[in-house]
Amino acid sequence: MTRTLLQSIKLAGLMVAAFAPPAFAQDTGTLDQKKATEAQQRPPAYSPYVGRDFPTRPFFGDTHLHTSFSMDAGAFGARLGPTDAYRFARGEEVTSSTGQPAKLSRPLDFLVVADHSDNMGFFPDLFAGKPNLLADPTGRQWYDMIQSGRGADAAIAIIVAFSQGTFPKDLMYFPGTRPYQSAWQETISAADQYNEPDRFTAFIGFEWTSNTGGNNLHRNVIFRDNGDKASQVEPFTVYPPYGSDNPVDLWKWMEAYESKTGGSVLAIAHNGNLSNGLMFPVVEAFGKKLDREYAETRSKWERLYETTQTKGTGEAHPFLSPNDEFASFEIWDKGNLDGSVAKKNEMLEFEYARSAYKNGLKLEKELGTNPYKFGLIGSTDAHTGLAAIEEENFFGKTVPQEPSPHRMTAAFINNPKTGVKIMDWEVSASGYAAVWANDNTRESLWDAMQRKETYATTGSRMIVRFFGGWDFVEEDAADRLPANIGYRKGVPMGGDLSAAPGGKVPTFLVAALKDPIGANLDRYQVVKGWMDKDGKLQEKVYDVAWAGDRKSGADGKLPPVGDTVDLANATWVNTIGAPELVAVWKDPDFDASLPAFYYGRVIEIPTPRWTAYDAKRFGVKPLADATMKLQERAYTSPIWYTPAQ
Amino acid sequence: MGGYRQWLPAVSRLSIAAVLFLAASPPTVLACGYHDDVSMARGMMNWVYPDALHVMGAISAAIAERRLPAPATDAAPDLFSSRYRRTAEALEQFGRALDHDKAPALSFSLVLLEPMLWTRFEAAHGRLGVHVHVTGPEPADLVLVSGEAVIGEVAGGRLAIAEALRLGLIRLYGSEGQKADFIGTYQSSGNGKPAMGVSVHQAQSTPGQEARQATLHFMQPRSASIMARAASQSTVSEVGGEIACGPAHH
Repeated sequence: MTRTLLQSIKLAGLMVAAFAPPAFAQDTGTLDQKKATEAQQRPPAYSPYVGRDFPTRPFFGDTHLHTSFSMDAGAFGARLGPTDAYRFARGEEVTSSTGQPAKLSRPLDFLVVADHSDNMGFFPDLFAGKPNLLADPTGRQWYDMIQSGRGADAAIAIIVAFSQGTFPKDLMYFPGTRPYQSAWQETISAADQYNEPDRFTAFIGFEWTSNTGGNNLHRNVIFRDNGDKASQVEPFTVYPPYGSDNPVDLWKWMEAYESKTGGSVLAIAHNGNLSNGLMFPVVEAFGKKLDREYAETRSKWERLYETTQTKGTGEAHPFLSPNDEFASFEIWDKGNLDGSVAKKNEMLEFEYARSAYKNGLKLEKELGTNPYKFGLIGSTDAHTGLAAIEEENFFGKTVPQEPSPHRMTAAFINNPKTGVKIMDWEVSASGYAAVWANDNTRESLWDAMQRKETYATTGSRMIVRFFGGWDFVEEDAADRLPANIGYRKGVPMGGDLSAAPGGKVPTFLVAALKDPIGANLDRYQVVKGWMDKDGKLQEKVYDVAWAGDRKSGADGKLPPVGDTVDLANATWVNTIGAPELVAVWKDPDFDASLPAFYYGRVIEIPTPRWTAYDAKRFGVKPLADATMKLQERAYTSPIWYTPAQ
Repeated sequence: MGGYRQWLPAVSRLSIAAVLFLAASPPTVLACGYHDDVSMARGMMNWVYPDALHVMGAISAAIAERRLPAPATDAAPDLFSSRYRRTAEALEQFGRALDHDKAPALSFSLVLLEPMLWTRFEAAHGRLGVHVHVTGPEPADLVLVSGEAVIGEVAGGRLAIAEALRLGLIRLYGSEGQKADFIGTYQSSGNGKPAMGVSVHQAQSTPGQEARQATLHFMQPRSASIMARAASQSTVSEVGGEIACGPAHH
């Protein structure tokens, strides 16, 4: 199943070669006979790249990074602001909030600074002595205490004000106030300053932070536009009367933004694993029964889903997918965001991407539209200003978790009332968003997100292709230009297949290349979900390409790839696995009358987890139950199949 | 789905209640759930004493370079407050280490970042009195920011104050005159001379562990430290995590 390294290098070149793209990205669209025929009748040229108009490289980035402008990040000591965050993501060395020099192994291609919209910018302003804060007697008092060497007393006063609910209302940063506008403008200015088309894209964005009852329903809002449009509005917030905790109201805000400015925004739902069953409702939401309008509106605005981040991975859960031996990966299933409500198994179905995809098929039948037809990305949700989630270079979720021996044993969430306790070691060094865009600009990347031509990674920068069509044949996997064939004969990740031509079944051209400085690949799997004739939702995971000559056992499972991890030294070798996996797969269980989805999951060989690197670096013994190695992975956006009506 | 059907109305009611609460209750502006007051108090240090948390980075680097001992891995609860006692002992030893050479003239306050424990070192009658677990610095005090392992090493005579300052393991906050006085008086303290009455074994005991062992002691404070005072006046539900001097969260 493997190819040689030389071949892989060639293929890598083909997959990432530069080309002259059109100004605007194409829609992945739906493959039909006419489109396929036209594509195949194109006259050949000597250069195989003539006329190529599809994305040739994935751009890696982070759609969810907090800085000191976020209230919680600031409260926990984050001093890096948006400009620092963009500088770091571009590849510059910066000093972290705990004074540690930090630099990425490779620059990212894009970043969204997505600070919490509520109270955005409060802490930097307070300690900078901004006039608006000094105009308030309490703000003045705190500032004077700090300046007169009574900073500790000021800190007490601030903490008490938060904890007791006596925080002066005049110090709150609400939309419509000058300081809030100022913070938003500063956010915009930082993005515009560091946005450098074709080198680094700095998106304007924010995180809408619905958190009622401790249930995480956050969304990251990303602007396609520059500051001239984004500055015409202020971010949507949660606290009434200015905002709302209901996503429906966020979607109204997004609609209003586009109407007002002619611009474009999309929302990415936060990993739902801490929503305690509320992220993907199937009956009602916020007291209102789901209807077609809900489905259409959600589908319109929420194009992507954050399936992996520092607070765990939300692709699948072993309780929901007991036959999937890879489902138990960086799982957080103990409670909601603040640990105030412990998790129950019945909540899980409404939190994980795979079950949402399945329920979406059912909802489509009931409502006429699938509200959960989203693509997949990963991002960090780091609150440090540092999009640093490489295992050997992990700067943690929050400032208290920046590199230190203490993070091997400290608790991250500990709610004695409910018994929900999550340790720092459980925080995941994950993830990044990979976007198949034509070029590195706000417009091109945003368009690719909008059409869901994206995949999530848990930190690896492996290159993953996933094409679906009716006519892929085994020889296509031997071609050194798989994307040429993929786009010509099919649709990429995020696309649609519909109304199977007579007698045909879906075929998939899959290809993956290892991260150039990362681990080899174990296997490429296709995850299929469908609704059967009885209306029951089903799922199955197929191994479609793998390293070595392993044979499936009686249970249909491929044996493990092996393990070269040297935990004591936090290292591994690429003597197992494959640098490249390419295959054509044909669905052996296809029924043209049943709706389905398919997505790719690519798994690396085992490597040391950040905990292993820290144990070695700091000379500390990990806790007995700490996870010390992992198999990094990528999840593609699905391709959906819709039967003929 | 059945479970969800039954469960959601209750959640909706909670949501409504929470929304009403939110309207009048600013604390939830802290959007995420990892908000114990110790972490917040420590985080605030980075603002009120600019870059105070750089000490944590310096300590991490020193541990990685094996200049400082690594904290022990022990997640077991400390039912008898032995961690606190060891930390308090280490602070007393630290005071004696500073008191070793010269008659001190400068009072100052020190905060250990891991447990956010304040200690005042009061110069009086030619001695340096040590008051562990005070509410915070006295007005106009010179403030030292450091960590448990650093104090243990200074007390054990294995680390000079001057070296600790050079490595960023101790940071000073005060007037330039105060800083100069402190450095002039104490820079050689801790250099190869264990404090009187301190066994090396004690000084080498794991400060990170000791501080965490202090947790239960802190839960019933005789006087309130910065975070204990805040937490004692807080509503637990809003801070979500551990209240008052929880385990070190770095």
